[in-house]
Amino acid sequence: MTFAEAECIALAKNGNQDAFTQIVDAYQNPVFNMCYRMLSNTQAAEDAAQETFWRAYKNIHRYDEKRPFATWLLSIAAHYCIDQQRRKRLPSIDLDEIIEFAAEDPAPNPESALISTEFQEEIQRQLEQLSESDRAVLVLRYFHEFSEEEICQTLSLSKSAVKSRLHRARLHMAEQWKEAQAGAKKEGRQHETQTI
Amino acid sequence: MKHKQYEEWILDEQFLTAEQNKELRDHLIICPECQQLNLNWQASKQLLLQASIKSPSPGFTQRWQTTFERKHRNEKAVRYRLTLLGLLMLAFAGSLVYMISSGVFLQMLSNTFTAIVQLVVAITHGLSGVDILLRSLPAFVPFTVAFTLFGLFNAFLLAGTFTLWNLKYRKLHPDESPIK
Repeated sequence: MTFAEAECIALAKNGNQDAFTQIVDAYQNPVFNMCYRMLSNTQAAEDAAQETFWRAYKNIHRYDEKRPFATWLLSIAAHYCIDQQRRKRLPSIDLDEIIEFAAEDPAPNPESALISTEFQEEIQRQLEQLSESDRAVLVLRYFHEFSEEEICQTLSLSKSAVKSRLHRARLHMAEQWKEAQAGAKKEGRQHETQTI
Repeated sequence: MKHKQYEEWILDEQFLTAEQNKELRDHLIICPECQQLNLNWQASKQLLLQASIKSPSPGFTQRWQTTFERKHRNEKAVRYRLTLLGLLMLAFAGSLVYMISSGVFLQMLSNTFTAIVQLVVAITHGLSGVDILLRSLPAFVPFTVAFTLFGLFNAFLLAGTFTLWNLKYRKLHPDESPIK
């Protein structure tokens, strides 16, 4: 945490709204990414990110400066998203979402844009197959590069629980990859037959 | 060495000694299942590591400020309502305590009970009065005439109500006819 950030947090703790807005500005991307990877829906992720910041603002007096701020903030986001997922099972990625993905990519090459979109879709599809808690562990580990120790702190889990969840999630991802490859091969064969 | 151990070495990203590394490599050559698992996980991991951080649409901070204002306002309103409710409850509890301690409450209860009993008695008297009237009616008016008069009275009552309703409707909707 930089000195400026620490100062902002101290000011926000004293009720300074502008200081908190600066925090929102600085952490919007990791929080939004966490919410998006958990909920697979842009609008739901936006709402969850806003709610995360509101909860953080209300509970900032409880934040312990010894802990990294990102861990604390992402912990709120992860718990909120897990809760949301458990309450209502969100539908999987829809067509609008795919179009939005394609529209958002600023790559000039249409082919690379398509590959990138497919690539993002594939990750999201694979993540969706995981349970909420396994997904949260995997997102924190690979998207936010958290150590196992940090994941323990963020999700209030024991180290063995984090290890077993990571193991389960990785195994599931490997299986998903295998299935995706098998599906792609099958499609390729069908396409070849149709061309002939 | 059990097969499960190799799966853990592949998936758990734990530190492996040179010996363990060699053992795993040797196992991967002879075990197609573990080899496949290793390949699949490595490919999937690459996918995860190469994925970009998803950003919100521009203007997130401005939207946050709007959300903040709205939530702050809502919270204030809820707090105000709760305070008001608390005060009302307090006033009610205070007056209840006062009434119970001073005996006013018991007196009020007995008065209410007396009033209810009196009302029931009055209704019973009223009904018996109607009964007497009905019993004595056939002595003066034949049953058929009484029935006709009663029917006419009801018809006039209905017609009057309808006319009043019609007038009111026309006043509210001057361009429309109430019945088409």
